[in-house]
Amino acid sequence: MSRTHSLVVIATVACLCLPLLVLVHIASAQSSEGVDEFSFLRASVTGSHVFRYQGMESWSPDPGARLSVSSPYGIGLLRLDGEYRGWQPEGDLPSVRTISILAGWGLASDRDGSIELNAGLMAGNTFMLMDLPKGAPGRFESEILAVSFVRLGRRISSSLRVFLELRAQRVFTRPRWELIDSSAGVSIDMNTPRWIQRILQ
Amino acid sequence: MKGHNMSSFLSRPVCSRFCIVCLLLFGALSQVDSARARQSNLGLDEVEISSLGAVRLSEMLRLMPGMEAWSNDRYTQRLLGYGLGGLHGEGPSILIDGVSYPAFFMDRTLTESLPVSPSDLSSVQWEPGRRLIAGGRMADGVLRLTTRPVEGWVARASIGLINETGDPGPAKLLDSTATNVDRSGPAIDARLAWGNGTWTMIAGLQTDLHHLTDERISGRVRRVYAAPVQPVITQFSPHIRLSRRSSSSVLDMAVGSSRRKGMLFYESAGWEWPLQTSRDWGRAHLNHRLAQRWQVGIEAEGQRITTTNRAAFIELPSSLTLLEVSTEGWVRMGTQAKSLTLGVGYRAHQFEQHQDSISKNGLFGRIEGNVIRSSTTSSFSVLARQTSRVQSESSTFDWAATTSFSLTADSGRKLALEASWLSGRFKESGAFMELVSMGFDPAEWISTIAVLPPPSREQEIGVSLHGSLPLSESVTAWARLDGRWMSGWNLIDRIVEQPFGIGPLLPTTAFSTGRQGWLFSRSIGLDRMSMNGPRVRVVYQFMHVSSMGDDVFFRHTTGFPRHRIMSMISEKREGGLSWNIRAGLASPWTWPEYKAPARKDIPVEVVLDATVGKDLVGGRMKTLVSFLNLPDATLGHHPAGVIEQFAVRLTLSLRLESQ
Repeated sequence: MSRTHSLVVIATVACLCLPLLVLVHIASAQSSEGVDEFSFLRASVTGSHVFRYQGMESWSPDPGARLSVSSPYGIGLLRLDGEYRGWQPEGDLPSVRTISILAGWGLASDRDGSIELNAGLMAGNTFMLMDLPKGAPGRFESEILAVSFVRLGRRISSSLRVFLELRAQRVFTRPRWELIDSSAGVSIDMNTPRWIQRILQ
Repeated sequence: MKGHNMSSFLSRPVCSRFCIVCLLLFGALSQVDSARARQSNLGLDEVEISSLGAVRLSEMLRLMPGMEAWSNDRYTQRLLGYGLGGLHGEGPSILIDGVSYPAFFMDRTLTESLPVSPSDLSSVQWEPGRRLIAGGRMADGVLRLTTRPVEGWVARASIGLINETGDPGPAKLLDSTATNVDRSGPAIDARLAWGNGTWTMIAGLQTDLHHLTDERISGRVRRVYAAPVQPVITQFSPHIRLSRRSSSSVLDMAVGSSRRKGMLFYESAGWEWPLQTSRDWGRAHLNHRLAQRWQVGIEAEGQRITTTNRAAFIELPSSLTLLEVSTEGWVRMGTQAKSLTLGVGYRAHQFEQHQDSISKNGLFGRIEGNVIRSSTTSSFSVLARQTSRVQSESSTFDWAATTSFSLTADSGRKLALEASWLSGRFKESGAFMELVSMGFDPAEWISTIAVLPPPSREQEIGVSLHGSLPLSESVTAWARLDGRWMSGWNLIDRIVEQPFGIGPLLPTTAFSTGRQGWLFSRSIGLDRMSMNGPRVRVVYQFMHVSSMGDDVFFRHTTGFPRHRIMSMISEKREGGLSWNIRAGLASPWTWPEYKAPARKDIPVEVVLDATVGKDLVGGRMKTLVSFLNLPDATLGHHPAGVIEQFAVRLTLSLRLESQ
């Protein structure tokens, strides 16, 4: 399908299906009644592996490290992520280190059940530090990024879960920089301290 | 040419004119209420405005359902309204709390020099069709901006930052010519206001900053200066406003100033002129009820727009000053249900170029009538102007008439019919063609020109039919049909055959008179305006041009998308969470004035914006994040205009009140 056709499809869906979105929104608002928002925090620290990328072919990715914190909101989970990754260059190019800060929300199938599916979107900023001498032009850059994710979790105790996650990421540089990564790890649930809950609410 | 099935009707213009005359007479005899008869379903309410996260008026009007508003350089706005005035039309006039604020210069509306920003507004109403407004002007539609009332002391400020995506990132290490992209902002509006229900005093300041690193613009600017100059646009606009509203009288006065340093992209020239544009303005409105059935009023407005140039590599246009003032006195007889208004006034225009001064001035008079009955409202207005051009010792007599009639059933169903007839020149003074007709020498702005033929007398007849049908308590369906016939139009006639801004070779431009053709707009829409739950607006518009073989008219009117769909959903939920989604689709359109190598055909354009916001600190603070151009496709309305990409806007508002 050509780019123009793709855009037509997107626009038609956006323009004509907005009323449908409204119904979904209303339904979700009703179904979220009674949920104790921000009642717990779910935290995880994990490694991630990029297995497909484009737009930055002159560098290859190292394994990354990610800290993720989420908390119930509506019929899903609000989420905050921080991620670090190094990129090794080809030839004489300098290496690049990236730090990404992301916030978003995902729909959660059953937050208290034994198996949970969590899928959603996040947006944030990627800070890029090139290995150049201090003060060199272009040493530091930043750009917006967007992430879609799917996480499958399995409860192993009252507060621990194992999970597997897939993420598709787009950094809005020119050319666009896109990658898909996977991660697996353990998350821990804890009651949200009252003062944090008050701020979040 | 696209004749489109109208040839048989057009071959009988006498018939069409007769129909319009009958319509005018019918409206005048049946009489009317303009406010009720002319309500449209196009606009925004307070929830919709506040959920947008817009700090500038131009951002609010972008993608407003029913409105075509865009910029080819991001900072000078084209408001085309329904496109019924053609591609180079003036678009709607802007009324703030019912008082008009003209801000039109070189075919652009200087929206950011107006003394309002979205945070001030409680509603926006967009009314297509011809409207008689104060100062003896006949507007091509009006945008009614209504501000929020002020109680006690209010101090508030909003700040907005837009970051467009597309910085090269590490790719800069591979391509040293890659540059970072546009940054816009901070755009700031701040207000200090006091009101007690009768008196209101407001002091306001708006500032703006644009870094225009778009490759199309920065390339042209480099050629203007012959140096790697990054165009930066700044704006500084303070104003003060004083009003007093009581049951018997209204006084509304405002003065302000606006300074913009930077560039003015003038389409006909294809260059960014490095200009400083200054606009000083004042506005006063007074009406007073003398007795039960008598009311008198005075309107006064004035503005002075001056452009000056900075030194550059190429020769730039000389300084230009446009001064316009008008005053009007009126008397209204009757009640709210039935009234007749008579007004007389004086308008004067003067512009200076090459140290020469050219002026025109004249008297005008108007008659307006309104009648409201239980289910019907009707209105008519007639405007007559005598204008003298001092230097050429010539004068013209121009007149215009509008009428409307509406029928409202108990069920809420409504049908409204409007008609207008203009004979003569009713363009704003700041319109390029109007400046040329006054004696402005356009040679230094648009390269060589042919000798301007004597302007022909313009005629215009317009008809609108608007119906709305409530489907439930909150859902309304509506349909609208607008048609406009224009004859004797004076138009710029040119073909652009080279890319913009290449050397000093600008398009050869001529002027052409006596052009004619039809424009039709058919639109349907659906609104859900509930107090609870999301507000929804969906509009579809189909534009149709019939030029009857007139090539210049065709080129002037086809730069408007034939099909447009616009939709918007917004909601403010308990707890202060708000969200808004705006989507627009425009079918492919063409700019027939342009030939290769300039980009002539514009493909399907899809625009999708989404905003989410949250009240903080008990509603005293609000933060909003907007994602603009979400499909991440490059957009370019104009062959020489900027290319838009996905962007993120951050808006922060603060509001402190003391009763």
